[in-house]
Amino acid sequence: MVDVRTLHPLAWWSWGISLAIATSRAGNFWLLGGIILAAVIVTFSRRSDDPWANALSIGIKIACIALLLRMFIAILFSIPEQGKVLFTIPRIKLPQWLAGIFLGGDVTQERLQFVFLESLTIFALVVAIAAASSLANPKQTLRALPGVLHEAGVALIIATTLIPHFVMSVKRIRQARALRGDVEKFGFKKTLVPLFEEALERALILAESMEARGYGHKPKNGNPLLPTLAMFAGLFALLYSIISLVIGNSYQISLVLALSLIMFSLYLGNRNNSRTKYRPQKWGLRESFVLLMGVISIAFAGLSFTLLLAVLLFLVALAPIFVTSRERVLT
Amino acid sequence: MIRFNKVTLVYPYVQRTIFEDLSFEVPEGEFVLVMGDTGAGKSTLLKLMNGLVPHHTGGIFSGTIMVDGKDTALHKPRDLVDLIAIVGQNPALGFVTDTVEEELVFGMESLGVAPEVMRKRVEDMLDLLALTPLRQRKLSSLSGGEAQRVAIASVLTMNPKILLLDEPTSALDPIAAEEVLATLSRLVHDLGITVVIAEHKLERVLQFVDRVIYVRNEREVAVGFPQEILKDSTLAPPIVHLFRGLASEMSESEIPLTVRDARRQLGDLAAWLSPLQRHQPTITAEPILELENVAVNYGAKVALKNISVAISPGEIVAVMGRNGAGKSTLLSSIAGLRKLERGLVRVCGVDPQMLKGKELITKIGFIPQEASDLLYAQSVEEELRHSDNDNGVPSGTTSRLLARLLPDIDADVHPRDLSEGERLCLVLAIVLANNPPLLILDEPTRGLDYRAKDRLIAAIRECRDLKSAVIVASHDVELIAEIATRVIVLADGEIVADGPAGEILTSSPAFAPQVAKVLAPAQWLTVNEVLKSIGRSAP
Repeated sequence: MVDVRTLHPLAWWSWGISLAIATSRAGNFWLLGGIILAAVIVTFSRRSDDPWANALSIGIKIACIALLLRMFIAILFSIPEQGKVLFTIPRIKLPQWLAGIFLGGDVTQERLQFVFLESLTIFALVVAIAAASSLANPKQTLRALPGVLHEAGVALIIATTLIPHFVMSVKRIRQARALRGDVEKFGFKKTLVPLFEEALERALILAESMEARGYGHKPKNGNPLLPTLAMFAGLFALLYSIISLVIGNSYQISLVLALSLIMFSLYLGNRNNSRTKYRPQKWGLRESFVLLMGVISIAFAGLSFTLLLAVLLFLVALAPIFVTSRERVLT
Repeated sequence: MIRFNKVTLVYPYVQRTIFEDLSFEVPEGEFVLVMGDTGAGKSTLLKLMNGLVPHHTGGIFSGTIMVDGKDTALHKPRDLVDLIAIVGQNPALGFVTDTVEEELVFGMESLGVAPEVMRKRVEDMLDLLALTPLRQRKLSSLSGGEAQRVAIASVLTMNPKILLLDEPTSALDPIAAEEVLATLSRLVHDLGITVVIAEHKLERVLQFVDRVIYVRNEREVAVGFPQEILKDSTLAPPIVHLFRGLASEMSESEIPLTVRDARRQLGDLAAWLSPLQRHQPTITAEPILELENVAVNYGAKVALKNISVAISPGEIVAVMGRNGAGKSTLLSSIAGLRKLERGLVRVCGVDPQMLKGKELITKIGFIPQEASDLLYAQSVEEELRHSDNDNGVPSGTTSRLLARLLPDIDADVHPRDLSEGERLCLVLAIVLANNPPLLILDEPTRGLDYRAKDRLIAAIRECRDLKSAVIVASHDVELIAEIATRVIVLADGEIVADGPAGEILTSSPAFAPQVAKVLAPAQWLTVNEVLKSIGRSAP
């Protein structure tokens, strides 16, 4: 369950998010390349066999498609620009009401470079987040979050365990259909009705079992009204600051207020919450080191480019690999 | 410890009263068995004890139930978990997390038990229930017996004084069942926990229990020592039936409940019984089913290897073995539902995988473990109509068959509202409507009481008389002793024994029925056999 050789899931997330912020500040092919390479190396050498460990592979595929699509669109819809013309695509006349959009035309080197850098930044961002999600055990992450968010975690775990059950049920029911001499591949009434009946029955049994195991047990202490009110006020303030941001008013004060109200609500809720945690993962030196390296990578990414900086950034982004070993495979 | 006082329970929109005016008491620190027919309300009685009924299910409830001085009407089940815990009929469905260790702490985390205490209790429970090697295993990878032990451990971590279990051994093979029951018995004796279980297979549990609650009907519940209750109960294990049949020969009147007691009292019976003459039918007909070197794999796991068997019409073959030995895989391969790695299956000379639709059901009748999977209609009547249609038989055939198996059934009822036994009869009627030459049943006795089992036995015998071959996979040794002509024992995907029922069943301690254990070394299997040999009719 808890493997001492792996990092605290929040440390993985701090690393991933730091790299994501760093990518948005980098604006240079070499720096971005270094970050992407480091994230990929760390993930592929440290991920486990669990299903979520594939997040990075999926993330890379999605990012590749996005990159290619972005480049394709950049070539197809050109904007008249000064610069070195690489090649020209015949221009297609668009109707009057689409004035300002150009299909085809000259493709300049400057434009391609700019668009590629932009797409690569998005690519790196996706890779950084996907890397963190394939390294951090989602269940551990939920366990590491404040106790008030526990319910959401349980719902997620139940959902993930029910899916394989569902697949099994479908198989069994289709088999039973064949045994009754049904040649029809899929019948709404004959497949879905038993499936839903079974799913409902399962849900009731699970609910009963959870009830009988003390789920939702709440000792009567603390006032449940105050954290709820604080949360509402916080969300309202957040909404206000977002609207202010969009329409261009000053938003800083309301945002700070919103965040502090939400934190206060979580703090209160957590204090009233009597749940305890079994073998919580500890935040140790290694975790602090990874967090520090994440912050340094953000700082480095903002500096002007030199080759030395690129190498340093790569090494800093590679930090977790020096303090972890490959995860043990659990059966 | 648990006191019922004038308890009445009625569900709205249902004609039948569930319980009326029940009063009884369960003393502390005892191993208590709840017995009764299917549908008598054993599960409901257990759920009443910890308040799941009516808090969770609804229903109109009157009277009081006091558990250790607390009124269940005033406390929700979740607030009583450190006092009374329940493990449901199918523990795997009640698992909330996905590894063994997380499952053990789920309840304690909700209760807010201090981390150090949790840590220690988890280790204690792992030791107590012999789960240490499983602590990091995924719950989905556990066998039936392991899952049952994990479920017990996961409620025991909350330190309850009372543990309720609903049919803890019904899905288990005899060995795993023995393990679970021995564990429960240890909890009673070492930790002083009051354990209440509901169970059909009395032959498995009676030797362990201190007291019996017999639910006769909605009004009448008898509580007493096993000897008192079993003196005249209609439900009884084979030992008791044997004893009752021979009662006039016996000087003592104490009913034996364990094999040891019975051997002491009936020990010399084996000597004066006329020597056993079992008529072993000589099979001359061409085999209806042939398997040649069949192998089946699930991914890297080998499920069956090198199975070669031939079965002829008129045989009733029992397939036995541990959970996970490959019984279900064998049966589904015979029905053509599995891709074979190697080998050949021939049913009436045809590869069953080639059979589809109507061709399949005229050759093979298959009743899967979840018999209700075969049902999809909204009422019994509709189901029967579909069956006549699917089978291509004159309308009313299935319905007549069902009437023979189950004389008084309400045709308007939804199949899900039938009891387990009634549902099996309905499925049997549907499958047998076509009179298939091969009938396959996978674990048919789960949740069946003795009466439903008798119906099943009659149906299977009738099938045999019509020259069909029957294959039954089951953990229920008493059922197999009653019907099987031949037994195949599987272990690890291989056939380890194949021979006449009398020989195989009496040669292994795990698979021997009670009568065989009592009268060993003579190879008697059932009460009826013994009584018939001395000219008595069955009780």
